[in-house]
Amino acid sequence: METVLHLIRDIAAHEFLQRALIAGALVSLAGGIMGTLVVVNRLVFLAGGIAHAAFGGVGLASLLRLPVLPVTALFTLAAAGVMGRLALWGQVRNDTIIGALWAVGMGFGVICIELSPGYHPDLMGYLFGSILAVSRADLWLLALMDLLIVASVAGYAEELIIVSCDEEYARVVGLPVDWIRVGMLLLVSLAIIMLVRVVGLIMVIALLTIPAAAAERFTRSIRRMMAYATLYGLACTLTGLGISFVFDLASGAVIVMTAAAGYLLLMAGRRLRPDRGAA
Amino acid sequence: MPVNDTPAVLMTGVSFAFDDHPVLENIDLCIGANDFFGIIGPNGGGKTTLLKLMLGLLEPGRGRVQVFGRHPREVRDILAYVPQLAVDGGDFPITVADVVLQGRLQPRRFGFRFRAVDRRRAEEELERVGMTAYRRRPLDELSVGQRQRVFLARALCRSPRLLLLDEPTASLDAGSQTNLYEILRELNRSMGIVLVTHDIGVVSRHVRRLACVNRMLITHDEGLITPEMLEETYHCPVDLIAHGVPHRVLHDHG
Repeated sequence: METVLHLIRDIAAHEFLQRALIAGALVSLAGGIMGTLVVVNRLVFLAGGIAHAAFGGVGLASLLRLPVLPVTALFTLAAAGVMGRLALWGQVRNDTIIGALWAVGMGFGVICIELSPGYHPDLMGYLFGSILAVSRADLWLLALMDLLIVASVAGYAEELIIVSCDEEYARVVGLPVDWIRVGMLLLVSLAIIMLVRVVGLIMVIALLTIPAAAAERFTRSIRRMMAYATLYGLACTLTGLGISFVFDLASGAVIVMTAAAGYLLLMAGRRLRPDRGAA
Repeated sequence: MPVNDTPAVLMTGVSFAFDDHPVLENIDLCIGANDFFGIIGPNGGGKTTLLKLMLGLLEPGRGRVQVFGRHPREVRDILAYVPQLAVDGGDFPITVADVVLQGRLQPRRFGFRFRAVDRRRAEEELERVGMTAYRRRPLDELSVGQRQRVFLARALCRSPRLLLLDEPTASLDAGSQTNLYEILRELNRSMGIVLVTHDIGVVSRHVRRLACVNRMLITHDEGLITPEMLEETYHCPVDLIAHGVPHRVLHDHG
């Protein structure tokens, strides 16, 4: 109890902690919404590929001495476009092409950083997350990306659901299926860019999948799944942040472990009460 | 039988190939607006391709496909399609009621929401296929036959003039098959129906007209299956009696 009070006093005293909490809430929303679509569309591997290719953007920003988040955002969107084009409509088996671009993006980033004279950004922050280093400007950018995601998904919810659920039917009724898929992929990329800020690109996939998987145990509606996943992500991010601060551990890693532990508890809880099946 | 001048489907000299593999060759086919038309043939014989040409999902390599006198894509509002279902229901998180509602979607409008009138219509169609009791159930908990009816209800929400079904009875037991055909016969009063199946036995008892497809198309306007048709289609003699099909199926639709 004393620890919790201590933590609350620290949060009140330190602006960087307040910013971390706000950032955690903002990325949970993006992760909950887009994670749900990633999971039901089986795009987990593609999302992992986009996240790792994003490192190329980090390297490029460092080489050109430009602000990291905007450059990484643009680079990641471009990488997602290329990957989506090749993986969803190409001739090559799609996991092959994703796997290749996954590594090519990282390799490009590493070379860019080596070529950058003198100044090296906090690489570990992009690999493992740096929610405690979020700036005020970052918060505005995260909020803007959230707004874009929420507005797009809310505006085309039925279309996104039908394309995810039954693509052939979507084509029969005349939906622009390919454009909807491209749009979905770009929104997934936005969510990834946001989540990288919190848990880093190596662990980003955990916050796209675990909250959605946990949410799916409670509902058979995509909309509710998005809401529950957001709440679950929020709970894990805040709890994880608290634990990492108290025990002085890497926040990204602790958040991911918290999410996984929570999921295991949910599964165990369900097993103990078989009257409420996974329906 | 009511007369309608424009045929529901008119195919003239249609050929289709995947890469260099011809799937359909020189197909001529005319399906009336009130037909109950069965298309049978072996697996890989081009049945599904034929349906997809009618739906405008595929474009013919040669020849012309017209649906109600227009390009299929121009009349998609009055076409409805019930896809072939896998035994495994997938695991997409959606309820029966929400699947049927999809039939009421008006595409390309930002912020589209289903309204009370859409929900009422979805309920009516669920009632028509006898699935009202399942409306809140997750789709993936249903049997193939039940899902089939849910997708039929979704198709009917579009108020189609032509209903296309791909292997609707593939995984159904005899009782469910009969049930489905009773629903289809009732629907046939107000719309044309085309159904594709490899199930020769059942289909011939219910459809008005029949065609066999195996790259080429052989039609039989009386809804009869003759040994010659099957032999030509399957490229080997088929013993009708041994397969439980009456040698001549009585045409009882007048």
